[in-house]
Amino acid sequence: MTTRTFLLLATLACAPAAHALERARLAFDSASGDGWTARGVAVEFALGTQRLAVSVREATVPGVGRVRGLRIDCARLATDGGLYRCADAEISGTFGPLGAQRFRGAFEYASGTGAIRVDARELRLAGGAGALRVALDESGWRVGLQAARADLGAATTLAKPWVSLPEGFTLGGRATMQVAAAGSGGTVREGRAEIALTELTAGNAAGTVATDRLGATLAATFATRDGALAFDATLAMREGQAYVDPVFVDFAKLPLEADAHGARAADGTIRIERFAARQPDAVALSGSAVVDPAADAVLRRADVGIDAITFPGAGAYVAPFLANTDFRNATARGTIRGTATLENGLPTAADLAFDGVDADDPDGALAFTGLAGRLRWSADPARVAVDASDTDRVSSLAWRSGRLYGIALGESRLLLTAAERSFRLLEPVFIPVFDGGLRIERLRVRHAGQPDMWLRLDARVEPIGMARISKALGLPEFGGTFAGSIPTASLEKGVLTFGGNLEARVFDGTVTISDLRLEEPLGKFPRLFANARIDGLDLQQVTGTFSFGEITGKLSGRIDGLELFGWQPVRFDAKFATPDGDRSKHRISQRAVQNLSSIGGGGIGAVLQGGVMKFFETFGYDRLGLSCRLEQDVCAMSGVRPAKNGGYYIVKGSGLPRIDVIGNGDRVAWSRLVQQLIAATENGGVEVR
Amino acid sequence: MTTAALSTNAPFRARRFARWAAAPAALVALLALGACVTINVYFPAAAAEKAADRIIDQVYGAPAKPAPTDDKRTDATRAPAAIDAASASIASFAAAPRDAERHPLAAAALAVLDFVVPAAHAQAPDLNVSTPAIRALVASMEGRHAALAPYYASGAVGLTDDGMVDVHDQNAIPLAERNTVRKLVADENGDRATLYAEIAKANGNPSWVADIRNTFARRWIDKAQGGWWVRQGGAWKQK
Repeated sequence: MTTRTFLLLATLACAPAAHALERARLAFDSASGDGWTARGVAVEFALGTQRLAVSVREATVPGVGRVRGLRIDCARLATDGGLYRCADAEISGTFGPLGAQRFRGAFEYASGTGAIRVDARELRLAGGAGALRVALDESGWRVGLQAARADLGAATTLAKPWVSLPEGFTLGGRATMQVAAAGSGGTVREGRAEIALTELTAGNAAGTVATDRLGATLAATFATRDGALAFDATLAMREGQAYVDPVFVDFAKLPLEADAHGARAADGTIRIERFAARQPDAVALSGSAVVDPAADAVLRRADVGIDAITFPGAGAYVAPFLANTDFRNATARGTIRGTATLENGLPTAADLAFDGVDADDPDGALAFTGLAGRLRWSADPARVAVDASDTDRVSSLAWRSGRLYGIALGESRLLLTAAERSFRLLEPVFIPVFDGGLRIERLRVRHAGQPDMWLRLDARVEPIGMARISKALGLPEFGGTFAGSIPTASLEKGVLTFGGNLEARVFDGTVTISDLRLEEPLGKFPRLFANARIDGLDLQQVTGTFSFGEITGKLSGRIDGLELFGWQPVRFDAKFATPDGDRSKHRISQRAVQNLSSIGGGGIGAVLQGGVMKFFETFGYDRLGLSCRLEQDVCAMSGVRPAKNGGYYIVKGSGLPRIDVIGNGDRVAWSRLVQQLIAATENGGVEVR
Repeated sequence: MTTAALSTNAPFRARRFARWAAAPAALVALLALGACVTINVYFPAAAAEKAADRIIDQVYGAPAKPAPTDDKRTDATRAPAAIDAASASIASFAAAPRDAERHPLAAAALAVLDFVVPAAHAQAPDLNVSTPAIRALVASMEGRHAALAPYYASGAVGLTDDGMVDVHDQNAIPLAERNTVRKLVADENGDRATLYAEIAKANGNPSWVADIRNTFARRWIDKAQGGWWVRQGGAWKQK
């Protein structure tokens, strides 16, 4: 409307002079119209050449701001009835935030209809080249904008009057775009936009959102239908990196393609009827969503089809959320599919199916291969299975094989119910471990994944052959079984406490483990606390197994206050000795004597009565025993009873030839004791010359 | 420091009876008064600072001081000599390492020493920071420091006045490394929290954990290099 009034003035001024003059010149101090003002206006028209020159000292134009020193020089103004057309004009001036510009363009004005067309070329836009077309007529307006490699940093400065970035936000990169739109009044009828951003490097002050040399192309078409602005958009990101706290994505490695089809209603709500996002080897999602930019929870609802979440690629999205948990170094391989529903920004239901997934947590020594299952989760406990017969709403988890602290777990399938952050086992399950297994009667987990996670377990260890366990623990193979009941194991505040006893029947005796407690079971330094009682082990079998020479007789004892830190013993009070009233045969071999003499490290010595011991293979003994109270790396040692001249008896001999082994080292470094033990069992004993 | 505060009408309360808490002193006090003793064992701030410095130097990789040796332990570590002696002669086998202790005069001297030493310890208690758990934690932190140091230097990560570390400036971290840094910070803080608890526990006073944490917080910051960032009272400052 403003241009129209302006040209009208000029035309009116020239027309009466056309017949009498070669040149018409009109000047006025100021003019104003609908929203615009102009000062120092001069219009000059040469009738012969039809050259039109307009100059304006200063003007205020809506949408552009203040324009200074505007000059429009049209080499030839063609007139055809009511149509005025200039095919090639040179325009210069300082255009508000756009700065000094000199560009070429064409314009057209139909005095009959009032239609105007402006076509500006060679615009300098934020360090790039640009072009702008504007057409106005009775039906409405059409705008086309082209910009090539415009500098986004400079564009931000340009855009400051209308759009400003948040404090501390930096933006750099280049944009090439083609935007075309048509409409009338304040309404967009239809349009399309193609925008390519290259080397987009942006970030906020807090560093929670940042991109590095990001490349993105966005193509969209939009049109107004029934009062809503319908759109179809595609987005592709193939280069650069982005970080949106805490997720980091390298689009060069995980290129993204996304499209969406929807409409923005008059109230501002955006209804995405269909969207799809794909990152090959990582994520493929599709679905629908309702977004309300004005609401607190912007995502009002989303129904997401998970076509594939593929690990390890998708780890980029999952791993950051595990950074503060014990699973921070976990890895996975495989694909998950299913559906999920979100309401007001929070998940409310999910149905996920997976098969052939492998997961490994190197820190916690927990691993599974061939995970398969179906998670039917709901935020509403009323919407999940209450028992195993509810097959449509039950969750299941199965694995082909697993590993916990180096112990192999056999194929198992658990039926569960999952609601909120709670899980419950719906029927007892048997997890094979070697030739026995763990029978879990009851299992409940609450507040899963939160610091106050809570777990309760009733289970029974069905006899497992010690041969397999000893092998798994890297010990020489020995017979026996391991079994026990765990009536109430519970995990609270990161501490796993076991009720009941575990019992190993080994070497014709028993080892009973009680008061078992694990702190930070899946952490980097798990701590184990336990007490153990040892009853009537057959020493002949023990020494045979561990190549310790040969001792016959029984051995009993206890380990109180055992504490392991990172699976290394740091504290215990252990006592082992020939049980009172043991009537089995008590013989000890020459090599066993030597080994016993050496393992005490330092203070242990053997007093041999009779100098011809080397001719005897074995010796009789009355009692033997050793105790070690480990504290701060030092083992305070003693034996079955104090010796007369100081020290203590490790072996109190009997009969002839008689041999006593007397320990003198009452404080032995634990590391040395372990070394001596290993040497004694591995190298066939320490040599005594 | 350990002190024995006496009050005549308080009921007998033996709180926080530390290992080095002057048992003889307590005994004497009991005998003298025949009743009503309150023993307060205060946090040994100077000793804690010394212990913290030793650990921090190790983690930061400061000029190497000789590894902390505990005189009491040399008996035990002298073991190889004993074995050698045993090998040399079976007759002398029984009389290997602590011969001196069994000499009547030496034994008497030792008995005197045993009596005096705890008292001496009571005046200048040493904090024990040499348990296997503490060593494992310190080794773990020492290993991680090489990875963290560049982030301290760049201002990405700083020290906090609660004895922990935290991300100070995300923008100083290349995007691809931000999650690595998050993990490093989580791991470091996990180790630090465990370390403070372990030191308190190793010294028989789990309730000291807050004091130990404060001591460490101060010393981590004091020993930090110039240019590192420090958060005190919620505000970040460059050292």
